[in-house]
Amino acid sequence: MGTFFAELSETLAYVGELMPALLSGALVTVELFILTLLFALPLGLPFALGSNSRIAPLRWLSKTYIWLFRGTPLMLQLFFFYFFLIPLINRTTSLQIDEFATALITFSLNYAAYFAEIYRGGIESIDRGQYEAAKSLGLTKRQTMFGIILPQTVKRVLPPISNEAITLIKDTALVSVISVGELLKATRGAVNRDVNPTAYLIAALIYLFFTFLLTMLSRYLEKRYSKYDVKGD
Amino acid sequence: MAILEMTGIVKQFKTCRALDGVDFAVEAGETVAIIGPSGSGKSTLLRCVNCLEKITSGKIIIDGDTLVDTNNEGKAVYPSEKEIRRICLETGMIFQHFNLFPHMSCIENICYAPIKVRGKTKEEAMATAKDLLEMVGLADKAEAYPVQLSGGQKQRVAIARGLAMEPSILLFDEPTSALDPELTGEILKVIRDLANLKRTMIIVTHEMAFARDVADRIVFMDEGKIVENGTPQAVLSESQNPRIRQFLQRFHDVGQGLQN
Repeated sequence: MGTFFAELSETLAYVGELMPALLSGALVTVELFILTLLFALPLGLPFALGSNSRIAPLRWLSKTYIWLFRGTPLMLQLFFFYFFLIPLINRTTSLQIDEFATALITFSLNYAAYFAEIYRGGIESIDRGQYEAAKSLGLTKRQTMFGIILPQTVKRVLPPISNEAITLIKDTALVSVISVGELLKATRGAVNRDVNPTAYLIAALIYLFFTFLLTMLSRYLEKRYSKYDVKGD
Repeated sequence: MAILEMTGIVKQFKTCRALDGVDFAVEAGETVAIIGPSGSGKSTLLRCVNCLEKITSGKIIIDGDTLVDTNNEGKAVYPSEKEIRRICLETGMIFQHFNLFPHMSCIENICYAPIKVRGKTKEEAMATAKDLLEMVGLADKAEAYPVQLSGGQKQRVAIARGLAMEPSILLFDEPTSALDPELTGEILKVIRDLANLKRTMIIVTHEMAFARDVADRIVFMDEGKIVENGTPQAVLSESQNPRIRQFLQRFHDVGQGLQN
């Protein structure tokens, strides 16, 4: 009994030692996560509208964009930006883009493509009668889209969006390959240094904590947007 | 002068000819009911009036403005989208499935277009909307969302929404077909009140008794053509056209079946 408590307190002390490094890694993870959503959520909309546009070049452009970013691995896109595109920009312009910004740009562009497809699905799920009612009341196409269709789309895209958000929080681990010091990189550093896998367990708990928060948030939002929509209606 | 004039209307869908040379006119203040079997082109005709469908050839004049005319090659030519929108503002459509905006309360449903399209102030639009809700007997439902209403109440809000745009012609596309039979009465009453106010209305309906009572004129359509066009008496009772007799027989049988 005595040795058990002794070992437990030793482990807890070790976890306490690990925490500052892991938490500062987690902070980078959260930053990347929030900033990616901040850019990708709005950026998806023009591509969603574009891929339904009557103007052929816009449609073509949007669909190609979505195809490229959904059709290649995110890791490959990270490498492409990190080793090719960003160094080119840094060399030829006065901009100096660092690893974190490179990760942010890649993630935003990638997730915008997924959000665009979610928005497109949401827009297409709205009944044709809504467009007809709007048209018969003399609303323009723009008024119809922004006043009638998109507000109804919000509720329908919330579940797939929160699903993507949960994927995103875990995808942030990928950026350790271009040496951004996020949670997984900090964890691996500790494991290698101490030859002790405890840090992996802590990291898993931190990721789980984040997804728990996201699940609660999406549940709250879904409830908020359900006031005009009853199940089965 | 006719407020709506349609001449030689042809509507060709990919595989079928929904309208096959229809001539149709409505005088201001008139209530016209369009009846006929399913697929006869009644709804399509109505939808061509406010441009939900574009015709293949023919001519439509609404309140003196030409919505569409046919060129020398026999193709229908429409003006710009803006012009179409302006002309079609003279028409208001009431749909079979109401098509209320579910994310807006009843009063927001009614006010949205008058504010955005007619440029009314919020106060003006709200005042009109309240009067209209009062008229359709739903003054207490102003803040309710469509999901909280019965089908009959939804349709009455939809009528109020249509009226709020002050159209010259009201188009009803089977306004009671999606309702439980016991709810149709409240809609028919509102339409009857509007007829008494001499609103110009075109009503596509399967309610024969209602058409007979409320319409000044009945149009019977079959296979994309107008077969008969006259007073309710002339079309429903006196016409010897075999298609009409056959069509009305069905309603007659149902009535008898209930009595026996």
